[in-house]
Amino acid sequence: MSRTSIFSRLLSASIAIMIASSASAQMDKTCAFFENETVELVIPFSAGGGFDVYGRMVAKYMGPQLGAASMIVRNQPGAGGLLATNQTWTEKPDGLKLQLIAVSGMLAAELGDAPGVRFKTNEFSWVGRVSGEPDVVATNPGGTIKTVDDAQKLGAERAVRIGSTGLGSPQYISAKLLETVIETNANVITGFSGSPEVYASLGRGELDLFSSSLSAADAAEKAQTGQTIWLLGTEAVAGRPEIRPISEMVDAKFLPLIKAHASAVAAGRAIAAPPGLSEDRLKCLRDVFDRTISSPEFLAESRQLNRPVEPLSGAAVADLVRGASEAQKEYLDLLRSSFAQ
Amino acid sequence: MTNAPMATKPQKRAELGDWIFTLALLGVMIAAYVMTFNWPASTAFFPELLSIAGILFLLMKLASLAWTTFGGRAALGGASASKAAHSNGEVALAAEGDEDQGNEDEFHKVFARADRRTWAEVMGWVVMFFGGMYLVGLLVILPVFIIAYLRVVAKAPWRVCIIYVIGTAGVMYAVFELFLHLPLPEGILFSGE
Amino acid sequence: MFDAAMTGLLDVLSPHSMGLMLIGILIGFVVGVLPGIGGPVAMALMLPFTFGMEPIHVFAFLLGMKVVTSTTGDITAVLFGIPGEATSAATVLDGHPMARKGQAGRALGAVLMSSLVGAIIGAVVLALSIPIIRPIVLAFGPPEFFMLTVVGLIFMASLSRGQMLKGMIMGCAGLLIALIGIDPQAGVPRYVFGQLELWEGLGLVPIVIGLFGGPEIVQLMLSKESIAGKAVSRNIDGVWQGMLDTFRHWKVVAWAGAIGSAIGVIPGVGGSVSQFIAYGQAKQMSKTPEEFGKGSIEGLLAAGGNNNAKDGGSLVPMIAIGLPGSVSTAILLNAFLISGLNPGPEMLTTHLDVTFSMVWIMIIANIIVVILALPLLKPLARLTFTEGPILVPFLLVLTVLGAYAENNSMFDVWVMLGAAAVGIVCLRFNWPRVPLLLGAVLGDLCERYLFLSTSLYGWSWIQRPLVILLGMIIVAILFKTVWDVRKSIRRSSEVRA
Repeated sequence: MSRTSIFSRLLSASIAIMIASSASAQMDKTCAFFENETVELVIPFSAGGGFDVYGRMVAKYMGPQLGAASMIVRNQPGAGGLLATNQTWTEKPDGLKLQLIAVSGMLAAELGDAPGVRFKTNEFSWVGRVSGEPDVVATNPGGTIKTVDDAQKLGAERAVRIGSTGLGSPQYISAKLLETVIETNANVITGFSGSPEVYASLGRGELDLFSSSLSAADAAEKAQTGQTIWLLGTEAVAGRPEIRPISEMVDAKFLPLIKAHASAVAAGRAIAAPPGLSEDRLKCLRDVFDRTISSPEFLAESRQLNRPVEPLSGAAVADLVRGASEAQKEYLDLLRSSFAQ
Repeated sequence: MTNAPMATKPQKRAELGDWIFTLALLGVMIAAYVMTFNWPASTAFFPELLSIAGILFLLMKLASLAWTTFGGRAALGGASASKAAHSNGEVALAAEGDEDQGNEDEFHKVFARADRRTWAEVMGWVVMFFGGMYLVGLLVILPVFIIAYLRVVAKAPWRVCIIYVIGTAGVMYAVFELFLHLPLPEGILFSGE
Repeated sequence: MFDAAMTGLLDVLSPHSMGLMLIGILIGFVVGVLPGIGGPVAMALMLPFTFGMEPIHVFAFLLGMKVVTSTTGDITAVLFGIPGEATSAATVLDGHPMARKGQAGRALGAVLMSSLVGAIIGAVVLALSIPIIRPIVLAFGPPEFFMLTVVGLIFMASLSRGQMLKGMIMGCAGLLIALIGIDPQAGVPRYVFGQLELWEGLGLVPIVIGLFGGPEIVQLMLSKESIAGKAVSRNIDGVWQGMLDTFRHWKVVAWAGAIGSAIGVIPGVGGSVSQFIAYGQAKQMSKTPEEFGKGSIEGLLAAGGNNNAKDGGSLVPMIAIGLPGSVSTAILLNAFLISGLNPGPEMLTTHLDVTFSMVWIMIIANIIVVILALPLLKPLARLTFTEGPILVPFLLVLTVLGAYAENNSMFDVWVMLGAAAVGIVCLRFNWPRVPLLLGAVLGDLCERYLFLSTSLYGWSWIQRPLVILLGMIIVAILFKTVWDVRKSIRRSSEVRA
């Protein structure tokens, strides 16, 4: 790791930006529009969190690649991201205002008819996905549940306790899905403030199962408050064969449901512009995004900060979102039951 | 203001204020209670509990207000001292409330003594600042407000005004807009580009 | 373990770490004057600058900043009556009255010194608890969290300044305010009136700034006098006296520090509840409880001693199991992950030196802050003798930025304004504000953990040993409160007779 001081870091960063911006200025004719403009990337959550770090990483490298004068990050937290997303939906589609969107959460809110949704996820101008990690299921460290059969055995004795944050949160949706597919006497316990608190409870042995993102589960495994057992999807993660897809263990009739959920979750954290962005600007943004996110500097920083990226092109994200928007009835019912109507 | 005896007038006024405040809060609590009707049981449990408790306390307060306003003040001394905990509190209020010295009380006096005109002036300045911020944004209203307020109220020399503006609005512009790229409250008139 | 402690100390003392700590402290000083923006916002904004640094450097930088922002928060609390955070509002209760009596210097000296002592207590508790850190943290579950919020809530009575009924009413109102937003169990929006901004509840920062800052500004505008306008003595040289006060009342500071660090350890509720418990406890122990809230040096020392101690304590659950207890520890947790560290057993074995370095940073940064702040205290204290109208625009900007900066939201500015109106009405008609704040801080925690306890354990959680212990404490405090009230009634009726 580098031992540079904060001053030299700032200095080198600004030099790098200067060099990069002069280099990229003559690169793209389609991107001439962005030259010397200020692009704003809205983050729908508070500064200092995990989501924020991704946004700042992208902005730092994408701004110079675009040739923009600057790409600034603006945090606009509120209503679990709905507030910012509602506003981005109505912004002028000139490409100068972008947002990092927690796609699955917004998609679920829209399809589940959650109150407060004023957008159609499908119609945003998708620029590209930064990261997308699957949902996994964890049990308490040293717990006895290894397979769905174990869970069912436990369910025969007493209700299996599945932890979750409040209704309508992403964790609640996956908890509901889990409750559905393990087909046993189970109980979703809501009211935790966030994944760390659920994991603390799991670590105390108060809960039996919890479904969270893979990275949260990894952190909990290192903190010995949880033990990852299943993947809440159909295909194992590359390099993690020990986490078995739950689809192998449950009744085949649930496969479409699990698939629908997994693909909605796969849309991950993606950048979007307001709907109706002109073709050429969207193309420019997509090209620049793809270039940024595959650039060695960006990847080096993502590795250094332990923030793995899973890039996906804007067109592919749009396909994923469209596919999920046409989800079948069972999944829609699950979503609707996950929001207070 | 008439030259009525100082001792009774503020006392009456304070009582009137207590009446208004208590009744207003009672209205809020009742509204809060009524709103729980449409919620599922677990959602409604806490708000119901609290609003009912609030309403009960407020009714007690009303009773004690009625007692002090219409009943004999002198009789309060030790009459109900040995009753339940809440009436203890109420006696403590009657016993200590008036003689309270200290910070909050000092504020109370400043607020109570200011006449309507002074209040209107202050509210005018507050409305100017916040209304201006709503319309044209913080960075525009701030210099205007500083200069106006310092010239009119503090009677400060121009030199101080200018240093003041640079020291606040200028520093904020440099730090928020130029260095950290943080948003500042924008006015609705200038938002957009 | 001793080796790790020494390695940690040497790492912190390296020129590089010390340099970064100083930079962090300086930035914190400048940004920290803004109430609310203080700790969490400054840390969040500076987090990107730590990308790629070594863990110890990251913590030297960020923890140094956190330490100084809590001290600057105390300074604005004493001078202008505006607390830096909702979780350290108790400093205002006695610090500001002292400033108004013309004792700003003494108050600043006292709060600075007691914070330092508190911080050292907190750091020592953190260090001592390392071997038993995980079992301790895991011993507390939702039932214990719930009982602890109740302990905090019963201090409502003793914080009501002898107006118990009014205090209970304001407390209920505060608790109701805390329930605004999406309910954590069923996801039903409560009291939101269709406003998405209210879904996550009213922000505590705008509430606390408005409630305390609003009346202060309007008071200055109305009276046009300086903050210490009515003061008889004009003694700004009291800094040393204030520092000595810390040691003269060492028991108060030690208790407050112990309460802060012990309760700060408890994840979820510790940080929020500890100031009320420390302050209430000091009041109950004091020989002159009637002075509390009117410029009692004991009250100020209790608040100061508690503040930085609880920050030390709150690091414990974050290090032990990765559970942050506050906004700023959540940011620190993120800094952990970014710098490649994993909270949990690793921090107590392979990375024990990093854990110890955090202990050292807490101590050293606090000492540096005291040394740096000392020469500033006199000029700062002089501000309380500045003409009121000169301060007004500056204070207005502070409150607006403080309310706005956390979420970049204009809505929060209006919330602040509303809270200011409530604060003014409360003072005008002699209704206590503190129970309102207490309710607003603890309300949602109280509800959430009660429901979690019952959905996890049914009603059997009442039989848990720690719950029974806390229940006994509650009964004892209630008994003492009733006893004190009866005594004061007897005394006042004797005086009248």
